[in-house]
Amino acid sequence: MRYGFPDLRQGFEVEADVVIIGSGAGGAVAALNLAEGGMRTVVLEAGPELRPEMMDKDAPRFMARYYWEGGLRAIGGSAQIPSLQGRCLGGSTVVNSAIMLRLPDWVREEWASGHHLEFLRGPGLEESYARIEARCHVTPTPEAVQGRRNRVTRAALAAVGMPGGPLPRAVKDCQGCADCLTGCAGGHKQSTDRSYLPDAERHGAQVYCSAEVERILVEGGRAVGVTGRVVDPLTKEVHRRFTVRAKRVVVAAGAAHTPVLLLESGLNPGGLVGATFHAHLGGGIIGMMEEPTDPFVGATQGWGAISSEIKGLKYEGLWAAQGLLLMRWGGLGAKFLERLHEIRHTAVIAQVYRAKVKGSVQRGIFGGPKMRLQIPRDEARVFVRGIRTAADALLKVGARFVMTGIHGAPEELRSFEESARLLELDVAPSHLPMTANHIFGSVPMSGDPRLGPVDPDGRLRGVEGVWVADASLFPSGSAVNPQATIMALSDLVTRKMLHRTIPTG
Amino acid sequence: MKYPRARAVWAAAAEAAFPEGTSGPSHRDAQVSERFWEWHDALPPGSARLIHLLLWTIDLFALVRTGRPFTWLPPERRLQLLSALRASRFYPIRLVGESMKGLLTMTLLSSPAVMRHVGVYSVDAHPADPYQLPIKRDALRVLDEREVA
Repeated sequence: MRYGFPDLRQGFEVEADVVIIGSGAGGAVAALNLAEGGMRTVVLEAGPELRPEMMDKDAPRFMARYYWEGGLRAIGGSAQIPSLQGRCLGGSTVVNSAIMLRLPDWVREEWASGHHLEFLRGPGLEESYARIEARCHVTPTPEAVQGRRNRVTRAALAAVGMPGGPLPRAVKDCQGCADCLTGCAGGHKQSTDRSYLPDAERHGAQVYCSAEVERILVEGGRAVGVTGRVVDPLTKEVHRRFTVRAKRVVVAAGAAHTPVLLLESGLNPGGLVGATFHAHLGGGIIGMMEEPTDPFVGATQGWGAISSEIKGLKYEGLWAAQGLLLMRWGGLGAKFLERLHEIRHTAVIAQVYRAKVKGSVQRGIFGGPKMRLQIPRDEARVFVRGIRTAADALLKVGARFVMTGIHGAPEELRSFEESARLLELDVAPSHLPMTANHIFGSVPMSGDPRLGPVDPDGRLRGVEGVWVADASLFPSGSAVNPQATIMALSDLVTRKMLHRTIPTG
Repeated sequence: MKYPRARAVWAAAAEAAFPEGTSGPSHRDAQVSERFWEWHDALPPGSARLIHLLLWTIDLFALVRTGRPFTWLPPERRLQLLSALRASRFYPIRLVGESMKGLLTMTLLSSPAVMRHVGVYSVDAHPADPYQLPIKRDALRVLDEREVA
């Protein structure tokens, strides 16, 4: 059963066995497992349901409606770094590129040993990945939808010794529209609103959209439910309040909102909630090719490679609506307008870097999350090394010039000598055109209560009846796109809720 | 009309950034002002406040730097001012310039006129495409037949 804003404008009160906050990668997996396990399950999603006819190609307007803070969210600290998260049924799985990569062994071992998470060494995690991949139809991006833009990326990365491969994605019969970031209007992407929530509803789960949770209700040291407000998805006007009574609360509101919600509810075991925060730093390198690439068709992110030079750095071909992806491209004025036709010749390589950054999440003055990251200068230099390699890669396959967007660097790099000079720049994080859409680690899981407020079973310490099941659990960055691991951890946590044992091998 | 001062600053910036008389679509062709305020109206209130703060800062910067409000300056001077903001060594000033550049470019590039100018098309019909982009179903196959260097 699914309820939207028109059904809820008068507020509501319901009872359940378990209430799940969030319907994205973590929340939806939890919903199916728990509903299938016989629990009366309620899912609360702050955003609206997003049907294909609502996925229009006006990307700025789409983002204003269906991304948190209208797509203008930024992480503060050493620079203002844009951070995009979906605010709709299915969360960010509706608006990402659906890349599904398993946790690299070295990260897995780092988490297992550094945070005493023995279960990561057993087969349980692999079994969860396999279940999720089967349900979401995860397959390598087919050659037929790579398109010329991804083929340029493939040739470029191979030219610098990183052949890579087609990215595995949760997409069934992809048509190569390159519209992933504004939702898959064809219904091919297996976001959780398609792959998990309908089956959870068939098992009795009730899904409430436009229901923004404000507090977890705690009585006598145990959770008894949640309360919040119904928000108009278009005007963002606040309407009536709601309350869900349940003895189990699964928090899957994402790495930004989960800590704020816990802090607002007075839940902060060991003072560790929101005290840590990690992100992957992303950046795009634009190559201007001789031949048209027609970048606006072909899988959004069809080809990728792990850096052979820098640990934790990954390259991917990328496209998004040109109004979003190329915001920083070029200058302004008559000359810029005269170059617009060049867009047909662009190829973009994105880099995603697991930087060693320190961060935190607190409640901001308007009630939302306030995320901060302090990026050391030496990490900024590593980021530039990654950009230089991508620039060389594009130059090697015939790019007329490459644009990095680094403040202080020439706007267009036309030779290997010019790209080599990037390494001589005295760069600060604020000089770099970064994004950080992969965020984690704000309520980490750890076997050691001094390192994380959540135990290895996903339970928040110091209170009965609260579990965490999203990217907040990650002890650090995953080094690859986090969706598959969020889903796998949620799968493990909620199976443990039902069966009381996590497979440990 | 709501926010007359903010609207005037935005319109003045759009006119300077995307002038008429070039081979590309101008601010008027791309309806940069109308589309920007439609987008603004879809934003949550907190984000809309940030936009107003940005436009107010641009106006204030012009006043401090030239002694005149942004809208009183000739278009060439406005463009110089926006470029100066982007090139600043002082990060908060540069952030204002980059944000303004980003919003202007975002609004321009996502307009139907620019999409047509660039030659954007789709490989699949889109049920809610307000732009009515041309559909070329075999485009990926045709593109794949060409060699990549």
